[in-house]
Amino acid sequence: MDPQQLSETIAAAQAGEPAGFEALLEAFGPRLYGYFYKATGNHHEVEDLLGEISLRLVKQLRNYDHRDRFEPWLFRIAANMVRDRIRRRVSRPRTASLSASDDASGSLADGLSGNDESVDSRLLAAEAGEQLSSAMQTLDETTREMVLLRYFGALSFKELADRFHCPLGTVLAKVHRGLRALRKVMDDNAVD
Amino acid sequence: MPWTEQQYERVARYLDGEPLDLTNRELELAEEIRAGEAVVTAGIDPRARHRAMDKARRQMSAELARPTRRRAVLACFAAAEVIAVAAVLVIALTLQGIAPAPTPANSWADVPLEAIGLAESSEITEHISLVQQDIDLLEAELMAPITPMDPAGYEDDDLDSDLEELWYYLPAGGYLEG
Repeated sequence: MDPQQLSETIAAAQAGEPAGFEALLEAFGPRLYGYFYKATGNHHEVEDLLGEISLRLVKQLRNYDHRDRFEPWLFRIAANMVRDRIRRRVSRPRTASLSASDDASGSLADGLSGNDESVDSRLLAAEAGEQLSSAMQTLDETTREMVLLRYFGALSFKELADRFHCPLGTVLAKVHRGLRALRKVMDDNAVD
Repeated sequence: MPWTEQQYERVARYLDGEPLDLTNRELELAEEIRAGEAVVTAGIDPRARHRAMDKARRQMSAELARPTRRRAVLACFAAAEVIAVAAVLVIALTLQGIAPAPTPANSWADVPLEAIGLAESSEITEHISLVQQDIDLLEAELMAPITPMDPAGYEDDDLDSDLEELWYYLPAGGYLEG
C-alpha cells in the first residue's frame, strides 16, 4: 500500500467506513502476526493479540494524527500490548494446554488433518519458528523490540532512535548485535 | 575491527535513505542488516497466520457492527420519547378544550360576596327571614274571611248586628234590589 493509498484508507476508516478498517487489517495483519509471534513465541497468544489489536484499531484510530507515520503508531500499540502480556506471563506461571501444543503452529488435530501441505514441512516450519522465537527471547528487551519493530513494523532507524531515546548509531549497533545473536542460535540449532 | 558509533550512524542514515558514499565495509554491513529481515521473519507458519487473521477479521467485523446496533437502539428510544411527549401534549390540550373557562361570569360559586354588595352572610339571612314574615302575615289575612264560622254559639243578636253592619256598608241608602 503506497503512502497516498494508505492515507486515503486511514481517512476512510476514521470516517467510520468498515472497508477502511478491513483494508488496514489486511495490509498490516500479517506483519503484526509476525511481530507478535516473534515476540511471544506462542501462536495462541498471537491469535489473542491480533484480535485485540484489531479491536483497538477500531477504537483508537480516531486518535491517530495524519502528520505522523502510521506504522510507528500502530506498532507502538503492538509493542505495549506485548510488554503487558509478557509482564502478565511473568507474574502468572504458564499452564499446560491439552488441546494444542503451545509452541507448534497448531493443534495436533490440525497437523493430522492437513491435506494441502505435508505434515513434515509444517512441522519443520513450526520448528524453525520455535527456534527463532526462543532465540529472540535470549535478546534483551530493548534489542528484541528494536529488531522486531525494524523488520515487522518497518520503522526507520531514526524513528527507532526517537522512540528509544538513544543515538542513531546505538540503534544500529543493537540491531546488528541482535541479528548476529539470532543467526548464531539458529546455526547452532541447525548443526544439532 | 570493531565498529565505531560514527560508522553505525552513517550506515543507519544510509539505510534510512540518505545518499551517502559508504566504504565497502560499511556497504557490507548495510547488506547484512537488510538481509536480517529474512532471518527474523523465518519460520512463520502461513496456516497459523491465516487462522489468526480470520479470527481477527471476525472480531473486527463484530466490533464495527456494534456501534450501528447501539445507534439503532438509541434512535428507537428517541422516537418513543418524542411520541410520548406528543401524546401528553395532545391529551393536555384536549382536556383544556373540554373544561369551562374559569371566569367569574360562568361560575356563581366563584363570585365574591363583596362583589354583590353584601358584606356578610348574616345580613342575607336577616333579609330572608323578614320577607318570609311578611309573606306569612299576608297569607293569614287572605285566609281569614273564608274560614267557616262555627254555627254553635251564633246567636240572634250576633246575626242582627252583622246584618245591620252589612246594611250600613251597602251603597245607595242600603237597599237591596231583588
